[in-house]
Amino acid sequence: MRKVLERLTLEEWDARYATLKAAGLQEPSYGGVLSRHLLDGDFRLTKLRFDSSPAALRLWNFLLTEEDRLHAARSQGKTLIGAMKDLGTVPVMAYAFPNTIAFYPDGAWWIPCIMELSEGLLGIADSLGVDESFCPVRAMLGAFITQAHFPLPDLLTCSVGATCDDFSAIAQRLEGLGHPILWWEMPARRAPDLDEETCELPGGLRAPARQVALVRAELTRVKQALESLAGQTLRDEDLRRGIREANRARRLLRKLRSLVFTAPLAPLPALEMLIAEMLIIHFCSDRDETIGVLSELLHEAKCRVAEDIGVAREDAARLFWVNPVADLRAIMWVEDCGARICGTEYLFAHAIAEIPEHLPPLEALARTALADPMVGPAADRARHIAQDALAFGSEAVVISRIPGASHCALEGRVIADRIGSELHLPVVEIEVPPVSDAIESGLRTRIEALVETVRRRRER
Amino acid sequence: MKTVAITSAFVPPEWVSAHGFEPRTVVPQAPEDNGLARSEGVCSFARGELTEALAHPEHDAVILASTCDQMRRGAELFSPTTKAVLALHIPATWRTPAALQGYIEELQRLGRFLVRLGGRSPSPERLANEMRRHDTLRASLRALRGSLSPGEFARALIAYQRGNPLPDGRDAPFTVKGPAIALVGCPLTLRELRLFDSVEHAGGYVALNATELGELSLPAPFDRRALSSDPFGELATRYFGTIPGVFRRPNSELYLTLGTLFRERDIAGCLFIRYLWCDLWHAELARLTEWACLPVLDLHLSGREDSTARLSTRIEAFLEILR
Repeated sequence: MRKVLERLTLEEWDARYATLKAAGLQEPSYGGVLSRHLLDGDFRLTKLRFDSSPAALRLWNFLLTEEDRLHAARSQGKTLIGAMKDLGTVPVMAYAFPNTIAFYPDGAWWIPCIMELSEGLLGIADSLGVDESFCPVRAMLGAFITQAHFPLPDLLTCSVGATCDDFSAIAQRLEGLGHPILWWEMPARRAPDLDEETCELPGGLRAPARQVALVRAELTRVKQALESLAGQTLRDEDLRRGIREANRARRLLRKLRSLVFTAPLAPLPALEMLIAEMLIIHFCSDRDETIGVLSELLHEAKCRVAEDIGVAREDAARLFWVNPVADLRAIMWVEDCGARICGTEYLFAHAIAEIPEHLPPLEALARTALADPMVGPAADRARHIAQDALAFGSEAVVISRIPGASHCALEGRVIADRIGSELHLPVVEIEVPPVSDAIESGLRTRIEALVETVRRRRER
Repeated sequence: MKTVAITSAFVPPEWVSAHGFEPRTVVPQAPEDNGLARSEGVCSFARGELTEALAHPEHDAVILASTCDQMRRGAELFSPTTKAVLALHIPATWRTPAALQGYIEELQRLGRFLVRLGGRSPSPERLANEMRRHDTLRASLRALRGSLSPGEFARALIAYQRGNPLPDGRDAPFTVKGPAIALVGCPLTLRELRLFDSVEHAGGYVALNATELGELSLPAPFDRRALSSDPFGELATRYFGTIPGVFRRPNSELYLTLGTLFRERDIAGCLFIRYLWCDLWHAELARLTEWACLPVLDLHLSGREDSTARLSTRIEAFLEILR
């Protein structure tokens, strides 16, 4: 018999936690009751509703203890790499070194949401001349100034070239404040000319071999910088091992996505799936634990599917969601509005694709990096979204603009046009700021309208 | 002769002309769209430049450059187009051999595009001759500074960029009065050349046009020996290595160049020109203000009909501070 699970408030989770502990719940060292994170200022948790599984508990605790993990790594003498912008490439290399942790300073973009603007990071960015016309990733500037969130890394890397202007500008501002950055070039991916040697990239893309060669040369330069910091050479076999481990995590995530997006009843909510996907970029500063977290989530999803348990109704509208939301609360509205997520593209499809293991490791990383949906034409991204929307059975598409993000100004239309012309699916564009409470009713109304459109189309 | 529209200082016009085409840098009349639907987040200069580049009946081909996200992505919104369009990737990094090699490969790709368009791959001698011709033109242009008013000099620069004849200089130097002002920031449309007049009416003069298509967009003079022995290499080295760009990472060379020119020209104040949604320049405003230790006026243009009176009032007030 089908069963729809209710999501829990933070307070309800406290009670559930007590029950689970009494029943013998085993947790990793970072485990504990979720509400304790309120003491860190993570006030947004009081407005979220969470999946009730121990797997989700582990996921949330893993996410919300990353700063502790980074500080512990620093005090243990580990090398910290702040990998900016490339979303999934440099961390694979960094984790191939012993004693090296990579994290994603860009992830500070969620701090204003999670701390409900209490931490002042956006205000600091304002004072540095980077105001709300820029992407919320500007919170990263504040995080570097206050040093109240993550320790300063030993090396900052940043991909530039075919990257969004606002991030590039924010990173340059950061360097201007005294934080040296190892910049590496990411060319704008293009289709090969007829007379050009071509390389196959993950995701079915193709690029000129000379572009792959450029990225490979740049990643070699990054590798040399990492080696210099680590005081040792990174052998090919070590990098291959790192790639294999990264692929373990990627395969788990792909299985999880496929299961959750295609099951008759959605086994996991949109919010936890968003967090799960974001782990893959830099493994939330612990690659092995990411594999553990994703494994447990996949196990939970499988059990629920087998038992016909879900978190949304059977007739929930199947939505494909484009771009991550700056306010975690917004993605919860999917279930609130009678829908479920059946497909996502959160700006890093290349971090989910498997890195080719049959190629020399740097060549493999270069090809994977060049498959980044953000470095190629919006038409490529739109094509990939359309393919996935079809594969996952999506009935409508939500394009969630990130306020101030330069790419959102132009690509939304390209994506919407393609979805409309190829799949004839309804598309809605919304914009979600870091704290969206003031505009919640408007945003929810638009999602509800989309759900109603889906329902009417079913009746026809 | 076919005309090839250029939208970036990093596309050498002599490379285009050596292939048998007439290069023309696109300087839009005004930062308003004439065809591209207005979209929040789209820089109005990029909108105007793309519209003019892709819609102008005299342009047979268009060369776009990836020096900003707006231009990198904007061309897609005009697809399909009847014009031949080539998007070049201009590396943002510049301090490594790989970056220069990337730029060289893009110039070579441009060359192949021009040949497909009906041009001819130039011999080294032909290229060297075109380079000498443009170098001479640029030297003549530079010599005009000081004899023309700043506004006239800005128009002379645009004349060179568009392949039009340069104006004649004057025997007597232009008499400068009042504080020396630098214009720094986004490229100017033809309409925004009024800023030069506004500064003069307010009692100052523009001593440095460091907007993106201004004086800093010209490469340094070629090394004559290198030009003779390896013209293509010299072309790539000069264009890639001597034009500072706000998009460069790091963009330290821009500040080094500005610092030198600010001192040489005794700059008293700076008008910072930016279009709404131009993130690259917007983020530099605070940094430049801290760095310059000079009064800086933020002139942000929305692309709608920015009132001359509004701009003039602000410039007048700014000049009063400086006097």
